[in-house]
Amino acid sequence: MQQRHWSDFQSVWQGILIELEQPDARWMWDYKLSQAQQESRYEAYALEVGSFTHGLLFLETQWRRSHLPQRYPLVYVEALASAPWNRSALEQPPFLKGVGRTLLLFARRRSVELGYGGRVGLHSLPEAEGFYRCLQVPDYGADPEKEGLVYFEYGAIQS
Amino acid sequence: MPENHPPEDRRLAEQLAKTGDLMDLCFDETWLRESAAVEEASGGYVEAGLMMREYVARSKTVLPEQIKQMRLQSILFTELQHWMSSWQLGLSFEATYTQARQLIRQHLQALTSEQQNWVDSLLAEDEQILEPGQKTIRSQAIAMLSQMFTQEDWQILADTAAQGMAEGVLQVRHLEAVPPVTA
Repeated sequence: MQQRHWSDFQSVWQGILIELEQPDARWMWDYKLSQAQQESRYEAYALEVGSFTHGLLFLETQWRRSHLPQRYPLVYVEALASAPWNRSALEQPPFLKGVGRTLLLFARRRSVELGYGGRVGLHSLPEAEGFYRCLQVPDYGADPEKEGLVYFEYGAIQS
Repeated sequence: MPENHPPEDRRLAEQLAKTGDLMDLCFDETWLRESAAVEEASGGYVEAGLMMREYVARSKTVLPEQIKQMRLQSILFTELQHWMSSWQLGLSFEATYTQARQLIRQHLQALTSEQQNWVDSLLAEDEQILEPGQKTIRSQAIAMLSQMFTQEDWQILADTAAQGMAEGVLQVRHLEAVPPVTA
């Protein structure tokens, strides 16, 4: 992810006027982007189509462990987002389809590359739980340490 | 504790065995259709991570202006990228391109009536199914961007390019550390 992807997110995804009212969110992404540039355990990616950002993915790749008792290493999705015009609930037809699943697939590829076998963990926002349930990603329930967000975890890829 | 595996894992395992790269599934039409259907079933919400909570809460609607800006900037930035590729910026391309995008964004907020008419025509043309060579309005994009940039903008771009090049060279110095000469 480059500065320009963050800029697309701030200025157009969230609306130009909203951008000015969101110092906290702005600071948070700025901080995360700089973390990704300075700390090797963080990785930030953007899905760009037609020179514009349509998806964002922020990963932690070294410290997180599986919720399973074996505590396998995994790739943890710190943040995953698709642009609002890609949501069928808001825009019909959505501008792009499949952005979320493509980003997830990429996270699993990174997990394979890192030798974690495709293990990926994430905390879903309530609005997106249906997406992860539809994909039948194993559900480990609400996590009190993450404000009650439901934790989903892909295991190692097996045929 | 036994692990549960989602049904898609079989496809992923097959893909790994076949090409060694999971992202090759993005060229599989069945996979793409399935992805679209899964997202449709959840209204397109896919967000994960606490830091996305505020974004989801604030983006419960999409304004027509947002879509218009996304389409417009997508066209202009694509043309800008092609144009700037010929500037031979090397190491400073990314920084200069990012700065140019920012300047264009600022100008888009205060278009002259002539520029506004051109933008409206550009978006109208984009909605038609045309071959790239038939897009006459779009072919004027570089001329329009060039006209938008002020003398001050050009100076900012030149300064950014120079600074980006300097930073790039210094980065190479750190990344490609040469072992000291020993007698």
